[in-house]
Amino acid sequence: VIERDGKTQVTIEDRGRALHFAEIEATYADGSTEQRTVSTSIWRDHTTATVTFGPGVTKVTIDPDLASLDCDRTNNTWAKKE
Amino acid sequence: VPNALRFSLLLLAASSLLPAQQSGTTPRVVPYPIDLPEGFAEAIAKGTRTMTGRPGASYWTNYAHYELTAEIDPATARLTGHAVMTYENRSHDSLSQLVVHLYQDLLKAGTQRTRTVALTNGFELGTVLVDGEKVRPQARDTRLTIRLPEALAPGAKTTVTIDYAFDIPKAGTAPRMGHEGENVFYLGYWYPQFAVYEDVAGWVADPYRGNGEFYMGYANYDLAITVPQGYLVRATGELQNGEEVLTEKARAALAQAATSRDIVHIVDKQDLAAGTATATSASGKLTWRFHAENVRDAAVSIGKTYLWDSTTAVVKDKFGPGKDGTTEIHAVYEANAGDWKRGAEYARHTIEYMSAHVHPYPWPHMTACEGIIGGGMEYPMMTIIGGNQPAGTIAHELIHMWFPMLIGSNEKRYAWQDEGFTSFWTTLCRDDFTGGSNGPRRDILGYGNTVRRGGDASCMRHADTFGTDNFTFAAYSKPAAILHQLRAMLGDRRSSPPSSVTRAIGRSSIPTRTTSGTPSATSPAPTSTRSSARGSSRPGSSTTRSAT
Repeated sequence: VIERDGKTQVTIEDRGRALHFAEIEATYADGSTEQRTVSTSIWRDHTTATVTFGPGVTKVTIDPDLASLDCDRTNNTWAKKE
Repeated sequence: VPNALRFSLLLLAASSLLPAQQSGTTPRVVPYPIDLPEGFAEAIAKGTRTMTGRPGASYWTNYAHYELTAEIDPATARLTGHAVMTYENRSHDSLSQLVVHLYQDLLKAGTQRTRTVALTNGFELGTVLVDGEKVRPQARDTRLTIRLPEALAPGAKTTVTIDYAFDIPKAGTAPRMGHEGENVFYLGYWYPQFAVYEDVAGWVADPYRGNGEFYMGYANYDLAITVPQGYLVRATGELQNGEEVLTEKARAALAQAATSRDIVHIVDKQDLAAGTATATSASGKLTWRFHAENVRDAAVSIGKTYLWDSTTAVVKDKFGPGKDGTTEIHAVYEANAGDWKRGAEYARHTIEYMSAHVHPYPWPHMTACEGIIGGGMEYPMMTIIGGNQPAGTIAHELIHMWFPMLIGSNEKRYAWQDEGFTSFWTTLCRDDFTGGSNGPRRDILGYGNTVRRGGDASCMRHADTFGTDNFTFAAYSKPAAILHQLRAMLGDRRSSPPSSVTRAIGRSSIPTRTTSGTPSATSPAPTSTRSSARGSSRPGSSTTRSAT
C-alpha cells in the first residue's frame, strides 16, 4: 500500500492456483469504506494486481465479505501505522 | 498447497511498485481443458446427452416395478421376503443380462468392506425365476448377474422373482439400517435391486463396500409389509390400507393434520401405554401396503415404541407457477428422544424452504424416523436419524430428497455432488430457520482452516477409495464451500437470503421427471442463468462509498 500523487495504490498478490476475483475494501479516517474488485480474468496472466483508492486510507482488507476460499487469512489486512 | 486460493497484500516500498499493467507477467497455472470421457462423447453423438448438461432428444432411462412382500419377526429380527421385479428396457440396446444388487451381502464373510460390520449370512436366496423359468443364482461380491435365456429387446419387459430371507443386523453393526431390540426396525437395502444400465457407461454396478452410497434407477413400488399388530409402519410411498392398520382415532388425527400446519399427535404416550397404537386383527398380524411412483429406492420403518406426529407442508408451485400444493410431514420417535418433539416442525421447514428455493417437493409425504444410527441416512420420502438434537441432521437428510433423490446422480462415484449440494443448502436452510446468517462464513473459514492444516483432499474420487483421507471434507465441506464461493461469483451476498442466482445452483441441476421416468427439459436454461448473472451488478463492484 503506498500513497502517491494524492492517491492510494494497493497491490495484492495471488499466491495460489485457483482463479477467483478479489474484493478489496479501503477504510478512510472518517470510517467510510470503499470497495474495488480485481476480476478473475486478471489472474490468468498476472500474479499481482494494483487498484487505486483516494487519499487518506487507514486500513485495507482483502475479501471483507469472506466470499473466497482463501486458506491464509493472516495476510489480508493492512493498517496505517500511527 | 495445490489449488488453494491465497491472496496477500504486498507491502512494497514505493521504488519497487510496478504499475498494474506491467505487474506479474509470469505465466499462470490455468484450469486445463476438460477431456470428455469417451462414453459421454459417444452419448452426445447418439443424441442422448448434450454439452449443456441437458438430456438429449434421444435420452432414455430404464425403469422398473417392484412388488415387494416381506414379513418381519421382531423376536428373531428376521425378514422373509418375496420380490417380483419387472425390468423395462427403454434403451436402444438389446440386453443379454441383468445385474441385481444384493446389498445385504456387504455383511457376509469374505466381502471386501470399507466399514466395520458384524457378520450375517447376507441375503439367503431361495428360488429365482426369470419370466417363470427357474435360473441358478450366482451371487458374487454383493451382486447377482442373471444371464437372460433370450436377449431383452428395446421396449421389452422381463420379470425376475426372488424368494429370500436375511437376519436384520443390530443397530450399529451395519451401515444405514438395523434394529434396536424388538422395539424399532429400520429397513434400508432390504430387497434385491436392479443395477443401473445407462446410456454413457452401460451397466454400472459397483459392488457395495460400505462407505460409498448408491446409484439406482427409477421405479414404481408396491410394498406389503407384515408385522405383529402394535408396530407402526412408515415407508416410501402412500399408505394404501389405512382403514385396516390404523385406529379410527389415528385416522381422524391424520385427516386433521392433512389440512393444518399445526403439529398433530397421531399416536401419543397414552396410545402406547394402552396398546392402541395400531388396529388389531384376528391373526395378531397386520399387513401395511404402500404404493410409490418414480422413486429410486424404498425404505421401511417399524416401531413398537414410536410416537407419531404429523403436519402439512406447503409446497410452493407444486402444480406449476403460482399453483401451490401440500405434502404430508411425519415424525416418528421414542418418548425419551429429546428435541425430537420438534422433529415434524424441523421437517416441515426444510420441505417448505427447499420447495420454495430449489424445486417443488414432488412426493406425497416426508417422514423423519428417529434412532438406529449415529448421524442420518436418506431414502426417498424416508430418513433415519439418530441423536436427541436432530434439527441440523433433519435438514441435511431431507435436502437429500433433492440431491440425489431428484437428480438421480451416482453417489458412489460422485459423492461430492449429492453431499456437496446438500451441505451447501443445509447451511442456507438452517440459517433461514434460526434467523442467522453466519453459516456460509463458518463453511468458508472452515475450508481455509482445513487446507492450511494439510487436510485437503480431492473431491472427484470414488467414495470407496478414501482410506484414512478426509472423506467428509472432500465430499461434504469442500464442495459446499466451493458452492458458497460460486454464489459470490454469481453476485449473491453471502449473508443474504438466496436470490434467483443462488436458487439456480440447485434448480438447474434437477431434471423434471415425468411419471414415465424420462427427464425432460427444465428451468432455467444454464445459458440464460450465466448471462443473467453476468448482466447483474455485483454488490461491491461499484465504487460507491458507504459509511460504516
